[in-house]
Amino acid sequence: MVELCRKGEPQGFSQLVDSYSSRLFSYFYRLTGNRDDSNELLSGLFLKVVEKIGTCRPETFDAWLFKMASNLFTDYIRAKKRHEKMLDQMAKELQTETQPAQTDGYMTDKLTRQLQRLDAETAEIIVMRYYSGLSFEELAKIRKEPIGTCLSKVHRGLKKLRQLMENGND
Amino acid sequence: MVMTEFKNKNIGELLSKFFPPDHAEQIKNDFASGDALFEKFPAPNPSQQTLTDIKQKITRQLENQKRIRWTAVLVKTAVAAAIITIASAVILLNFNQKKPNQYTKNEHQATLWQNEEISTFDAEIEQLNSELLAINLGEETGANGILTDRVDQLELEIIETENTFWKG
Repeated sequence: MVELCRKGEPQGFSQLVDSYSSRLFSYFYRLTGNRDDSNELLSGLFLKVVEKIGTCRPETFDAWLFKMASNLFTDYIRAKKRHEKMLDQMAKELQTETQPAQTDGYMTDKLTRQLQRLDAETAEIIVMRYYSGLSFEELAKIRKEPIGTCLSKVHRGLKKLRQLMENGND
Repeated sequence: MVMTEFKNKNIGELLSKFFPPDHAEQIKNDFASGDALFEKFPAPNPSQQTLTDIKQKITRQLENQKRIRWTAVLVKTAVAAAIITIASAVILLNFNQKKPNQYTKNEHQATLWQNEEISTFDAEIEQLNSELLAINLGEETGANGILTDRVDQLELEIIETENTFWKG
């Protein structure tokens, strides 16, 4: 499939979308809590894949793909922060109108809501580990961190998440 | 979707490298219960419409890339052709410029030949040639020319010598 994509065959990309879209959409959805943003990120990611597939080695495709997803999410967070900063400078009523927290498609399930309460980095590593299916060695390589650090971060994050889920005051 | 199987492969072995055995076992259980949360609260899937849109966008992008690649090939070819044309023109120009230089040299030589001193010298050579020709043909009368002067001078020397002789 990856080889087909590298040759620029539309059929290869079609298979790629069918195989990975569910996991990637879930990854984005867990982190953003928003279907529209997840759709946009998913679409952006696949277009980036089309553009950069030539630089990827088939044997490390999953790690390469999720690294790119992580970069896109980081850009999304930055853009969101800039947007929020801008909103803070605007009048209070306008800020209230544009805050997306209670709109449709936002934070629709409990797990996603609690993930939003973790810091972004911890939430991302937990979600990436679950949806990418990558080993800790691969995760550590993507994040440029020692394996022990990755293990600790995931462990602490999952414990905190479980506490939040059990307390359940959302 | 059960996502926990292959990523947890060898997780016990990995944890035992970093933590004491009882702690490693505890962490392994925490990972498992964390993963169970994801399985209990599955994330939604993207809509079919979203996937169709993505596939259409990909097809458009692939076509654009193909067009860009072709344009790049055309541009490269045009640039190569332009370079060859310019290089040929420069070479031809240099070749043509060498000929006028040769003419200039010839003209310069002609100017030298037209110099007055050289013309005089040329006339003297011409005169010597004609006298030599006349001697060869037996036409030399001794009336004029360099040879005549020398004969006259020789005659005067003989007369002077004779006078000196007879005077003692």
